[in-house]
Amino acid sequence: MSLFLSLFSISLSAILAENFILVKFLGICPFMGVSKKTDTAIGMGVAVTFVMGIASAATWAVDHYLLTPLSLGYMQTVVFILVIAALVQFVEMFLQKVVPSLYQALGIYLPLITTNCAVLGVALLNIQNGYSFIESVVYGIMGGVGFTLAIVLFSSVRERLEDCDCPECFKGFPIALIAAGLLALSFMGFSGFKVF
Amino acid sequence: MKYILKLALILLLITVVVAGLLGLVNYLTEDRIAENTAKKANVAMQTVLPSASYEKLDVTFEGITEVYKAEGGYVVRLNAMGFGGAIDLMVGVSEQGSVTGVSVISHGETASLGAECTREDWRSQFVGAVGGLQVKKDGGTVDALTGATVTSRAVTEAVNRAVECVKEVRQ
Amino acid sequence: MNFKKSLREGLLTNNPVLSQLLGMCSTMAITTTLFNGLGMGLSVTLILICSNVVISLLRKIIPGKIRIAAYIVIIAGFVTMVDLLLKAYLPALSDSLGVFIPLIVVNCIILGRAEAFASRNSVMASAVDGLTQGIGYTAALVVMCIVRELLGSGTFGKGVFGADGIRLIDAQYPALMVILPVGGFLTLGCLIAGSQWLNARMKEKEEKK
Repeated sequence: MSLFLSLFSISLSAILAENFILVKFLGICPFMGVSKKTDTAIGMGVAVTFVMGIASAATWAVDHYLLTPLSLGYMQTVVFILVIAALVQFVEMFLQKVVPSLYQALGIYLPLITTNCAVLGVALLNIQNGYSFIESVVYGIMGGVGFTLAIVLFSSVRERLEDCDCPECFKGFPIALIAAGLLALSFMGFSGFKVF
Repeated sequence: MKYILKLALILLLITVVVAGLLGLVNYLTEDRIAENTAKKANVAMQTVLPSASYEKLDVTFEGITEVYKAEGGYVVRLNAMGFGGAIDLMVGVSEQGSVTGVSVISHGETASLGAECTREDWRSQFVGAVGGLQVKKDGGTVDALTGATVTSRAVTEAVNRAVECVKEVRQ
Repeated sequence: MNFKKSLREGLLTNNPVLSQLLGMCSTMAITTTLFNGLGMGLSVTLILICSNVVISLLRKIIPGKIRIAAYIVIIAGFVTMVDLLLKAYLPALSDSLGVFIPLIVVNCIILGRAEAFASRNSVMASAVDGLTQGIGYTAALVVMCIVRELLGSGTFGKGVFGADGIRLIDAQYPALMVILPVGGFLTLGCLIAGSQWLNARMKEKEEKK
């Protein structure tokens, strides 16, 4: 029961109060880059959630069964990024062979995910917060759900921004950033939101 | 096939060289980092409960990292779940069971908000407490930091936990 | 020679943050005090120069197919070295930047410069490119830091000039919001708008000539 409660609490804070994009600033590049259309935003969100989940599991296992016993803690960053890069490659090949339709939909986003800081970020935060295996996986997946939520919400705002009338120098990126700021402001309402 | 092997070999070579260099840098900095960490923990222990020596006790208590026996009391090291992740704290508790000091070793709180929990004038309000503390917003006596209720609650709760732990240890 | 032109590109016309829109995660996340900004900027500059030089040296050895993986390993190596050195010699900075030091690995500026510049240019040019792009990044961070620290906590140079810095606005007046994530987005938005305006104006002037 207490495990369930703690997982619930981790999930809620990962999605809302500690939203990866709007509060922790992880994964801003894809957030700004692939949020022009809602369809692509959903695709990216699903792909990121998927990779964050398995990356959390894989990096947790690597850290606990390989790096810690061999006291190679200093190799953490290098090993994690390699694991993530390899994972993304595998997921890509696996999807291409087994679920071509999903590959068609997600394929173009996958290579971008290797350099998405939300993925490496979640792997490092899991270790830093001392999460157990289950907690890490849940934190990874829910972090991805939070990412999807933010990017989908933002893409619908952005579709409207395209034809808004604003000062010349604010056109494009700056106005999008300001809109993202307002979205972050609304997510601040969730800060301190904790279930014990 | 041969080409793939060549690719793998080059990548492996690069990784090995990088790993070797990192091993070297790690070897050179390891002692200093360990020294820094130990120094930081020691300074924190001295602030919360000055003592000539600290003896690590073999205690397991839920949510407690380490317990030390000092002259005239105990020092408890524990984590509080703050806004930006775990806050590593040292809490000193006297033989009588009242708090002698609180010190923050590391944290990931927002600068100017939660990060203010390291300020001496804020931490000093815990001195003399005997547990069961709450922040004012929850009906207690602890002044929360401006705009950082989560951090304040987390630290308050951790101080309570440290007091409870010492109660257990004394018995 | 080209250094002046390259510096101009790094700072203004092709600034990694303001024009190429790269590395925004760290730009918004850690720019709450000048100390953080300077530390982060200098760390990234150092890593950028090192990785550019090494990648440029190896550009003929690394086959195209595995280049990204090879670059990532090299960059991760340098990042870890800087991380260890900071932990050993500047523990205060390492504490306040926390997870954002290892995250320099996925900072698109470094991989971007490796791919776009170092992999096709000579060692010397790559080193200069690393330095000027790094300076551009640091400059953008420092501006963000000064604005956010002043408006958000009312101080200047916290951690650089003494623990509390120089207080310019009374403690009760600053707009906390600017230090929070919201402030990061708003400040960066305005800063990019400013740089777009400046670049447009400079172009106009050149055309008039």
